[in-house]
Amino acid sequence: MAKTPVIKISNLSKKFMLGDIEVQALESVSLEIYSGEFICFFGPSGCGKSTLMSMIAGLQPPSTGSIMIRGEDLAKMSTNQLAEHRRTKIGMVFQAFNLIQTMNVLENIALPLTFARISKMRRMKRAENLLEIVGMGKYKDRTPNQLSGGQQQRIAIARSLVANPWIILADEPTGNLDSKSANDVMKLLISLNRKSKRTVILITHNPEYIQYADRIFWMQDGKMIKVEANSHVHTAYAGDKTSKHKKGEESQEDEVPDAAEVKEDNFSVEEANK
Amino acid sequence: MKMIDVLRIALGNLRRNKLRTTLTVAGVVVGIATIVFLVTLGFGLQKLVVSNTTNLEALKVVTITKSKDENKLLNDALIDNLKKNPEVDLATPILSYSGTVKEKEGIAPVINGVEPKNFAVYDLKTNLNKKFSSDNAGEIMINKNVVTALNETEDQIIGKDFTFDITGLDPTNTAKTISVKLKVIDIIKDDSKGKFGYTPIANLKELNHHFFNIKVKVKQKEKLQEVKKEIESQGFETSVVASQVDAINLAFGVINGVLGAFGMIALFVAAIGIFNTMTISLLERTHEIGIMKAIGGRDKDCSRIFTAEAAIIGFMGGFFGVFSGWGGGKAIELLINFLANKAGGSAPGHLFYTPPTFAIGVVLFAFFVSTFAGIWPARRASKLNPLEALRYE
Repeated sequence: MAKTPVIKISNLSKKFMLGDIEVQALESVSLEIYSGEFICFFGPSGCGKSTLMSMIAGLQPPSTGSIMIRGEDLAKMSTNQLAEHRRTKIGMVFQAFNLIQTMNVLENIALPLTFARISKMRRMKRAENLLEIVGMGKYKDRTPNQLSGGQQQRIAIARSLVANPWIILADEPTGNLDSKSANDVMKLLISLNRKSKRTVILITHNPEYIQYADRIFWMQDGKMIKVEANSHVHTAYAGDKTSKHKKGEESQEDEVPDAAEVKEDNFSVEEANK
Repeated sequence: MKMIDVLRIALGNLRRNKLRTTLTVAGVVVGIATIVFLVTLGFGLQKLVVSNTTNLEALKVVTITKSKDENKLLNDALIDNLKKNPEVDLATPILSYSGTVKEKEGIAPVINGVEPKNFAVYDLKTNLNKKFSSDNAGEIMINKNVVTALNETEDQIIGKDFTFDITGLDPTNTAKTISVKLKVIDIIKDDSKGKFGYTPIANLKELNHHFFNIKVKVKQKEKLQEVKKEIESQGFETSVVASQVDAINLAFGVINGVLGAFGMIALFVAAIGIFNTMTISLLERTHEIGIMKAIGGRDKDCSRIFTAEAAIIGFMGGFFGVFSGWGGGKAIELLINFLANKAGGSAPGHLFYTPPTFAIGVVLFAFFVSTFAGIWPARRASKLNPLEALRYE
């Protein structure tokens, strides 16, 4: 395991007001996450794991403490720099998919590149490439509401990968999915981590998934209560529950290809100057 | 985000809400069409009045009435000098002396000697639209009062010869009376009480003292004041029709302003419509804005999409509004001319006039007004907290 911390969080606290009541969402959280790790933030709902994730994404500022992404302090960034941070270094996958309903699948995947001023031809090519990788090649002209939940989540994963980010933040990505689709999505996330060495942070309250993680951060009431390393992690995936479902009644569903195809294609988001 | 992508997304959003977009654009169309219809009517009437008051050619003419300096005369040398100015199209003299008609008592018409080739400069309407047959033709055109004084009718007098005794000053500045026989070839239409006639200046050459006045026509209307000043600087007094026209233009400027203000009210209502549409759109798309921000859209990318939508609505409204206003004017014009012809009256012709710069200006105006109406919703879009927007359903 490489020893460069991609994410270094020190003494992070977050308070906010819900009406007149002050809520302590996070309390003195410190952690380091290294390049290529598969991390699981595990805990019951309301434990502060989503707050932590949105702060890593720069969607809200810390009350105290700091978040360093490869040595850069998020608190010192302007709103435009934070937008760039989300666009180039972070890929987000949400429980609710959060695809834009009015755009088709390819436009959705390419949207971060649209913000990055990448030409239409280049970004569409990149989006089609990723669409193949998540096994949705034939759906490129559909809009999100013409797809099943699992299919939408695969589109969302393709979108999170489009700018070739360092870190994938997945907030309950399987929360709205049936078990077959959930396994497809998990398989995709795992292979992204294993085969293309991306740092993946999975936020979940489902204990089934902690077996896939290199390290598990247990959270409760806004505090990090335990960090656990998984020794058998590389073999855990061998169980491959997804194979059971493949012969089932949903066999017409698209095969999720092995994300080994997500090779580092040296795609970088060099933003065109204005 | 590139401008072209902002436009693509904005157009996509407008296209998806076809009915709402159409209605909002229709609001702008009504406002702009009202402005265009009213103001072009003003412009049209202005043009009609100005051209009825004076031939448009007369706007290019400056008349040298007299010299302020006794040594400077209104003579051929001055005319040659004037013709050297590259802005001057022509300079033509007139001699005016009073005359009597032989064997007719008590008639003393003013006889004007003019250059036949430049006769058009006086912009006189005649019954038969005749021209002098040559530079020294023994012909005369008289006005109706002379016809009456000669106990003739306008039809019968054409072709008859009369002998005129004309008294004036010869080149040596002494009084002299000459007798010339002139054939009446046309009747000048006018409403004046005076009696006068126009004849080729060659018939008065023996009375060739200095000219009564000189009309100078410039090539471009815009250069009139320049030429006028130059002539005045040489020590001559001048007069132009243009000053009258300026007064008419000023009056119409005020009328157009008032008409335009009525149209502005309609456009103001349309701007409120745009504001309303954009605000509703903002509420509907709050979640979408949250997504955009979460995946790396900058605040200004979000606001630009909204601004672009408002601007597109304004541009389309302006464009179709100008066409509707123009088309409405044309339809009314055709109808009025048709009715006038049917009633046997004279058709008024063009009642509406749309200068191209005005049309372009109005489109730009609509564009800016609606962009302005979109500023507030666009700012709200950029200020939305991404997390709250993401939670918004």
